[in-house]
Amino acid sequence: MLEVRDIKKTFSKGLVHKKYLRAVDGISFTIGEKETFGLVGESGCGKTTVGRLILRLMEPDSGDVVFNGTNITGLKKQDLRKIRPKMQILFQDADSSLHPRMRIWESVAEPLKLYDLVPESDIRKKVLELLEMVGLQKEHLNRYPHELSGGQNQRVVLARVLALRPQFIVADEPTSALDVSVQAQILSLMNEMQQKYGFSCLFISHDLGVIRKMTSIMGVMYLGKLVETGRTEDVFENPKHPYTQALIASGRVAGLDNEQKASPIEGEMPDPMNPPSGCKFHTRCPQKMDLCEKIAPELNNVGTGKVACHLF
Amino acid sequence: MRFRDIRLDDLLRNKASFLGLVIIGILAFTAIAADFIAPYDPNKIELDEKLKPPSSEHIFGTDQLGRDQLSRVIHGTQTTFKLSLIIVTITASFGVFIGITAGYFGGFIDEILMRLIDVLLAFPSIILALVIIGSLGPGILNTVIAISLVGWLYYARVARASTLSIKEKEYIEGARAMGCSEMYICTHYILPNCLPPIIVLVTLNMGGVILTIASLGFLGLGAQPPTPEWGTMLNEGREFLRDCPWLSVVPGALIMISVLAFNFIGDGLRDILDPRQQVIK
Repeated sequence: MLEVRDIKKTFSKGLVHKKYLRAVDGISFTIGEKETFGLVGESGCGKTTVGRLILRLMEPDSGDVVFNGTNITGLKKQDLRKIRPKMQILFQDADSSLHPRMRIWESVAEPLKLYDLVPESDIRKKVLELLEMVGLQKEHLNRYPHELSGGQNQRVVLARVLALRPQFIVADEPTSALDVSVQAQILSLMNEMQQKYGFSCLFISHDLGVIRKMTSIMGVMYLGKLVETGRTEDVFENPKHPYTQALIASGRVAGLDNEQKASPIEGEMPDPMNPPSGCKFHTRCPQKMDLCEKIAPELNNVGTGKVACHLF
Repeated sequence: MRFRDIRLDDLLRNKASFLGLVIIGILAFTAIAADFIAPYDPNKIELDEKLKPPSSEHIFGTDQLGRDQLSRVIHGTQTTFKLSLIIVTITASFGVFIGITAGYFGGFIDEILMRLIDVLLAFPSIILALVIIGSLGPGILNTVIAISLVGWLYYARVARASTLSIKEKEYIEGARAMGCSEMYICTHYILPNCLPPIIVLVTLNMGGVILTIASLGFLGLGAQPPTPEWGTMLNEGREFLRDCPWLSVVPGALIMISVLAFNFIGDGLRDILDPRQQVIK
């Protein structure tokens, strides 16, 4: 369905003394049909950039993104636009994901008009149908985004995106700007829509609880690299990489029986402009060895998943 | 920063902008209905009647050729409003086009355009307009060309600045992910969202343009006699300032009032769009 092969993206800063930031440093994973892949990691580890690179909202420096057998990275603009409606994105801040001067119904009607999905006369009917499907009513049709709440706006964005019947959606922390009760509603709405429309999803979040609820496979990112991937269940039951263990131990998931007595992460994330040598996690790793400072570990098969750590 | 929509009742609540709107309304009506409300033909010469002081027959008196000053001033309103509307339309649309192009595409295009604007802004605009008219020759069409050539700069700057902040918004990325073309994004997403500051600039700029048209007319480079135009009339009346002050005072006062009125509206609009004002309310 979607295969990401070794994508990289480096940002540079400054004209004379250029500084480089390896936001995404060689990431590979595959997402199957109707599957949800969770990408988790601290702020600034590059998970949002991965989502943008897959949709080519940013150009990757190298690597391939293969969607339904088509390599997207090499596509010309015109060909890319044909694939665009099949791959959509949900943003963290729903309030600024909608055109502030368009009424709700205009926003939802826009994709329908762009691709002539329904005849002109049926547009209003179709828009209402989509809005009701995501739990909004007729009275919201003529409102503006700033008159709705964050949760309602996220529903509108979802309706707008689903109008295109996408096969793949990048959900970039779609609920982290919402309060907890609304979060749960939006998440179950997404689940429901996924059942109905059968799209695959890349779910980006820093919230382990959300990842556990929403995804079947997941990857843990640290400073632009995947340190562990595997079935979500297995990763939570039996985290292998010290970073994953620490992340889970940080207690973000209440009531999680974690048999491993890993202590929460200590210290700050290193400066991504000037990352540590070898394994990037060695500065904070409780099980650091001499080897870790020199050689960066590869992602190897361990059990049911993959781990990048010299311990395995 | 999210700009609120500009609503008419907000403008009416502000005393200064209310006054401005009323004055502009009256002047605009005068300009549109000039042919019907002017009591005399503005160019009809009656040498027997020349240089008459204001009377019930000629409210603002007559000029050195016996033309009715009131009718000339009314038709002058039409000339000025027509010219300034044309100029502002040209400069605003061209400036906004350039500004959005530079801001949205960035990089090399942006750099070139902005440096060009910096260079042009280094000259006082009236001097630049004088140079252009000097080489093209005086006349109404050349006035329009001269003022337009230097007038788009501010629009381009303001539009570019808004575009820079708007293009980082998530709805722009969403539109790109949806497969909208760059052209569509610029016209449907960027343009409507960068309009509020442009509208403020248009109203403030109207006053400036009226003043420039009058200045060029006064210097004899703008509208040519016998076309009734405020600046030109001011210049014609200058010779008779001591004996017949009404010939200069009336067009002079009109220039002042109209510029002031546009500035009142502009200030009112700016206050409405100022985010700090919204907190107080």
